[in-house]
Amino acid sequence: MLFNLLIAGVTAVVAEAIMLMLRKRAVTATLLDGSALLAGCLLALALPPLAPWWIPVIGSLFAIVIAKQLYGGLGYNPFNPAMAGYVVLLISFPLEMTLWPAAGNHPGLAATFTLVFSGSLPNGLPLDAVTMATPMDAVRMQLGLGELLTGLKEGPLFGLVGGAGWEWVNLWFLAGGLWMLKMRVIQWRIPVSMLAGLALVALVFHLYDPDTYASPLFHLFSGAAMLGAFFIATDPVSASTTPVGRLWYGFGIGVLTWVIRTWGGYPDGVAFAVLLMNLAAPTLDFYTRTRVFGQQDR
Amino acid sequence: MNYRQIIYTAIILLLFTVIGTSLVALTYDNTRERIAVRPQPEKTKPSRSTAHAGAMQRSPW
Repeated sequence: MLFNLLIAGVTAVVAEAIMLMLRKRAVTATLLDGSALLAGCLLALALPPLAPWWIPVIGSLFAIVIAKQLYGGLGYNPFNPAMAGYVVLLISFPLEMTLWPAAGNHPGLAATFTLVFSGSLPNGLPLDAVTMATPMDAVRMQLGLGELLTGLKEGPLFGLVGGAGWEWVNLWFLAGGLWMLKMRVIQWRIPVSMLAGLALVALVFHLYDPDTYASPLFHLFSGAAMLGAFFIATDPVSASTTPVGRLWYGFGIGVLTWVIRTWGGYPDGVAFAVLLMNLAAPTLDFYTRTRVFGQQDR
Repeated sequence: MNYRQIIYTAIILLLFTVIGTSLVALTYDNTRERIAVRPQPEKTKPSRSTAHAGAMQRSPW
């Protein structure tokens, strides 16, 4: 993860600087606002820690050059740049995007460095020795083979409430998100409605068939649920801007995340859900904007 | 996993949380005014009629 953060962060900042120079815009002041570095870091957090070095490079380049600067730069991008970069990588390089380390069996710093930059592990170890499917991926696969969730919960995939290992990562993202709410960096509407949408639809289906549909807690504390709710969906540029629109925007992301996780072709649906709701944000804003007193209906 | 490993992992995750959240907070604070003053016509049109055409037509150059 550390290498992904470094590579994606540096690539994003360099790409932003080059694009700003080509567009003849102020370089230093724009770079210092941190938006390019943040986009690179958010992308890196979504990537598998053992992905080769060129994965964060391509993702960052797409996020900054295509999804941000070609749309006009900060404030004008209709899609979340980090998620646009992530989805491009997921569709283009599905194999490299599955290199998640097994919980409790992460290779050391030196082995990870070798793997990231050379594509192989030291001492000729096979990749399968240190990687495994994420809990969300494995649960989908096992359910597809006819197994029941009751049996899977006894296995090593599940932790206390969510995916093994992932629940702790999600707890820390939740802690960071709550701190941002307390400091009024973000508003409550999008994260609360997103988590509520995800939990509500998961609860309904879990009550209907607990052997097929995972519990709301599993969905909330697995994958990128908390990262998405507090750090990605709250992007002030690509999200809805009206109070009521934000509630629908977050709720839509939550529901779509569950739908894609459960019935879609990819194990986690946060990135796709965010991009789909980015598409809907202008419409939500249009229909939920505050009316000026005396304004006629459309 | 022994207790020392658990504590190390918790400290690393705590550092990630503090540094990451601070970066997000600083960025939102630095960019808030520039984002607030951007022209908004594209954001108030239904996407079925424009599909971000306004953003597409604006030359980045």
